[in-house]
Amino acid sequence: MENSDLLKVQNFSLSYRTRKGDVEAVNNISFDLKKGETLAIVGESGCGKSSLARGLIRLFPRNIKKVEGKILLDGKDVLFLDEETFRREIRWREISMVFQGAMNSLNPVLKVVFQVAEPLMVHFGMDKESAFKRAKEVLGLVGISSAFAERYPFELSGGMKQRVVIAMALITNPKLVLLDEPTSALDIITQENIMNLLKMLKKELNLTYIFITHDIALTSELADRMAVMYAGEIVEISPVEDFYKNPSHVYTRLLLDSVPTLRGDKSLKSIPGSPPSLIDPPSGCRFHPRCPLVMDICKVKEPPSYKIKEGHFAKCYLNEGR
Amino acid sequence: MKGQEIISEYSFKGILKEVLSYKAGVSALVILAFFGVLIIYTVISLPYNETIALWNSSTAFLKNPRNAEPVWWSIFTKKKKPRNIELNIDINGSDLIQEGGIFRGEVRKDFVYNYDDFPTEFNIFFKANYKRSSPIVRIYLVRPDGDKILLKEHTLRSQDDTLYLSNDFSLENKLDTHVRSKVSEPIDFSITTTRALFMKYSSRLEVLKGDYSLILEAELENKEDSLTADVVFYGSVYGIAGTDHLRRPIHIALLWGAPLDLSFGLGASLSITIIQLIIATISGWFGGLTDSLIQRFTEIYMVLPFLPIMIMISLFYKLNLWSLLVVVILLSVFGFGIKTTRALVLQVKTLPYIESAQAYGASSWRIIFLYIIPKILPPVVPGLVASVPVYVFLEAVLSLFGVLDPTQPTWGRVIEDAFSNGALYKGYFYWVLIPSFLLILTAISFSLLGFVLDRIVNPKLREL
Amino acid sequence: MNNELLRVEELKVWFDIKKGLFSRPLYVKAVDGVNFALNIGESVSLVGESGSGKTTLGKTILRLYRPTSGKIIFDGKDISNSDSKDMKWYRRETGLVQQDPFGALPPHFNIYRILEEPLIIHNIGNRSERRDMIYRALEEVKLTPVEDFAPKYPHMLSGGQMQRVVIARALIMRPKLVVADEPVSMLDASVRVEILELLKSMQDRHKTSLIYITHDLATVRMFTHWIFIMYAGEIVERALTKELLANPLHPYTNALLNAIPDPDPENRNVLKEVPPGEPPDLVNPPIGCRFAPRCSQSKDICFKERPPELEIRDKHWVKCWLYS
Repeated sequence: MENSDLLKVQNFSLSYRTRKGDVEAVNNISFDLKKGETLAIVGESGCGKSSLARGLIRLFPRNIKKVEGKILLDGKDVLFLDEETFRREIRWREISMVFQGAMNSLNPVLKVVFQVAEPLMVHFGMDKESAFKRAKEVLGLVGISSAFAERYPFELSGGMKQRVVIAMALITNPKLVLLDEPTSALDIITQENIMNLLKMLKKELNLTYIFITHDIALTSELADRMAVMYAGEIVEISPVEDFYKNPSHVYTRLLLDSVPTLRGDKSLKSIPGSPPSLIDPPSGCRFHPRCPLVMDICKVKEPPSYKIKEGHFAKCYLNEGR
Repeated sequence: MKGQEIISEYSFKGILKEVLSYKAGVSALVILAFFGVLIIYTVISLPYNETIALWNSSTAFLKNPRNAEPVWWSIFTKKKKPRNIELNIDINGSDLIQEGGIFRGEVRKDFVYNYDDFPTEFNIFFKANYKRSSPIVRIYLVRPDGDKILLKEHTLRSQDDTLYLSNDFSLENKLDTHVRSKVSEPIDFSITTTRALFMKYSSRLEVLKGDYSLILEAELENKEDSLTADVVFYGSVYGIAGTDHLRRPIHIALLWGAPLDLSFGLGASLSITIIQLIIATISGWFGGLTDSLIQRFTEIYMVLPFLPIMIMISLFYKLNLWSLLVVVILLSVFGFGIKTTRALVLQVKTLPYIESAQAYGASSWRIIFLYIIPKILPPVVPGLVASVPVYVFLEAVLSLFGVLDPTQPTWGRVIEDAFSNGALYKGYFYWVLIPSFLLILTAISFSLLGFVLDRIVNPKLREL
Repeated sequence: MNNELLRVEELKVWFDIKKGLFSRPLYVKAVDGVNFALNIGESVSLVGESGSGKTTLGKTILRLYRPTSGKIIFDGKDISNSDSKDMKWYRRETGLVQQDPFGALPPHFNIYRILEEPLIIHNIGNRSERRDMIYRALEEVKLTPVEDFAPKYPHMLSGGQMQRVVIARALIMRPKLVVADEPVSMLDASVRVEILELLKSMQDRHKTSLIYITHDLATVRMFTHWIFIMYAGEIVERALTKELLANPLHPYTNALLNAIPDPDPENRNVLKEVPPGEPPDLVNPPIGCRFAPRCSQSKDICFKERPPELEIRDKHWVKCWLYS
């Protein structure tokens, strides 16, 4: 069982209804994830990465229109489990999440330790005393001393609040932790502190992460595999080494070229144009209107997923016959 | 993109399109369009000054029935209630026959009486033109059963003379005797003039339907003399809204009530909102002492009892609708709206575009009027629209308190008249219900529109 | 020598958070003793974490805030305490590019009117001249065809396009100094580079001096002449860009440079060395060096006295006891 897939996502699609039309936020996404592995999902804002993450934990907005596909957790399809069972047995117990900006949505009138212990009392029916004890242990694990555990959120700094949020995600010993931009509101040094913490926790607890961010440089701190999302689709998924050495989708290459680095002398490039609307996405390859290497076929036919090597796929015609 | 019209969310077209995408919006606009048509019709067909003069004159409506129901009401009742019957008789030179020293004229007017109830009153309005001695008239009524009754022989007392025949006791006594002589059984109801004239000669009170004739004989002194007589059998239904205790057709007041009430409501709501907007923006933008002064002043204002002050003012000054408008505005400008708007201003004030306007040198007044107010206007507009009926109702309430100048016909005024004449007690339901209905319709239309606009400008509500 | 455009001397900006009538008043010492000079056409990156006072410094230089003490000398004129009515000329000479393009444009004006506003306020040109200026400005920021963009409203544009309008507006009066406050931090990675390049090319073309405020050292490398590193209300190190990146002296600068992730897959296997903790509370900052509590090389004196600013190498100043 050591190397078996913890999570298998097959042909997962999500769409929302809005007054302007239906938004295909996530379109036919498939990937799998082994235990202890970290998958980073990168993409520009509006590419559907947050919708994907919230979809995995089944937090759909009210205007949801269509949910399709399979999400197999330990071989069991949880996507169409009834909501009560999912809430009781899967959400937070098996899959937990660190939401974007969650540190600003801590309840200001409850002590930190209570907020961390709450899932234990709700999901496991633990009594308050032992839940608090366990919460303090986990808070210690993320670097919050018990003195701070008894404080209210406004008494903590941004970095500490983010640690609290991570502790909340870990308290139930979940198999899978979804990290949606876990450091986006933090300063660079604090951000690195949090990344160090996530790395450490991963090693110590053998955690499986899905790490969602727009910051490519940051993914190198955590990711074993990389998925690049564009306009609701995963256009390339690869082991992290190949992501840097052998990017096989034009969009991935351009994205890498736009990452500023302090060391090294590469010149930065930007990608012309802006991401398409998901209400009426372009035909064929969704990236073709912005692609410098566009061919005729890209405009008409959606490219298949080409296998570059084991675990490395790219939806781009340039890999035809490679 | 070429040629494509850019519709801003702030443009009238854009907003109209959005409003029409809601059912509530459509209904609100339909009702408002109805009021619009009503107002245009009123303003064109009933010139304001003439109508007001007419409304307040004591003689203009003498030929109308008093406290008559709306005509359409009889659709719902089994009884066919009498309408006004007016016979215009004209006697002049060509009809006259010289007989001795006088000129005699006779005119016969036929009419059908097919109603289930008796006329409420019976009057004759004479207008005579003579040189020396006034004409003598004799009035006969010929009933369908052939009975011809001499009602009155009368020498006109002046050029304009009126015979209030239904109030004439000698006539009533005469007819009482006449009827009793025709009926053998005893009669246990009182025989009034109008009953005697239109009843079957039996012991049960019943209308004799059929063809009647009225005959007027006149004796004039000269051939050049002339006489007109308007004979009116008053009905008990009149017009689309009935009449009041002064015989005035209520629909005139209701029609003019629409433009008066709506312009009062709109004027009050618009001016109060805009003035509050400006004061609140000044307060929020400048902050410091200005802000404290305005806020404290507002708080004092907010605890002042509005209605008693209004009534007190009306005791000292005679208020018409427009001076009332000014007083209401003055008493409301430092209202609660300042608090909520100021909260909005404090938010908008921190937006980056305000800071950049300062950075390129925009003055405080420019920022207030061109940068802050247009931005907070959209969220304020739904409230503005929704508060129109508040002021319309306020006008009605003040009318009920008798605060207002009674000469202007507004809906509230009509209701006040109704109440002070015991309309509900006496069963004149239409007198209260129709103006109330119009008030409610106004409230519904503006509230719906306000609600829809609120949805549009506050997108958070949209998904509901 | 007379190339100098801006000189800032001992600038302090304190915000009072508690007025003291009977008790001691409390201040947030957002900027606390800043000195530097900037020549015409030069650009500087003001780098620091949030709360380091970099935005306050930038906005105080534009006189959107009033300094508590110290001097701001622009073109030889002291503007540190001028009243707003004597500042109109200064508003014309300076421009501001903000962080949030979505909020930086008045939503009820179209693009044409947005760009016309500064011209109207400063009475520049007649209608047709203004029109030419606006169209030229839109062309410069590559919002073409200009006739299509001019009548649009901000919400019809993407974030990158909005930021171009903001840049066009900041530069339409040809100011001598532009302050750009994190102009790309809210934009997608793919458009950041082109906005930065646009800003740089505009600056080069019009010989504008630029103060570029950022928390992201990675973007400043090829962008400005100078880098100033700010920490807790002070400039702890300033030098020409190449010199600073090659020879970072202050321990905080080193920590900052270390913290920037490089896209290297090996990163995930090692823990980074980063200073613990977070920047100090600016109401009660440490008495000595403000970085001392987090510094791995701190000595006794660091906790007692504030370090002086010394020019250790040519045009390379640092505030650190290690070099005194």
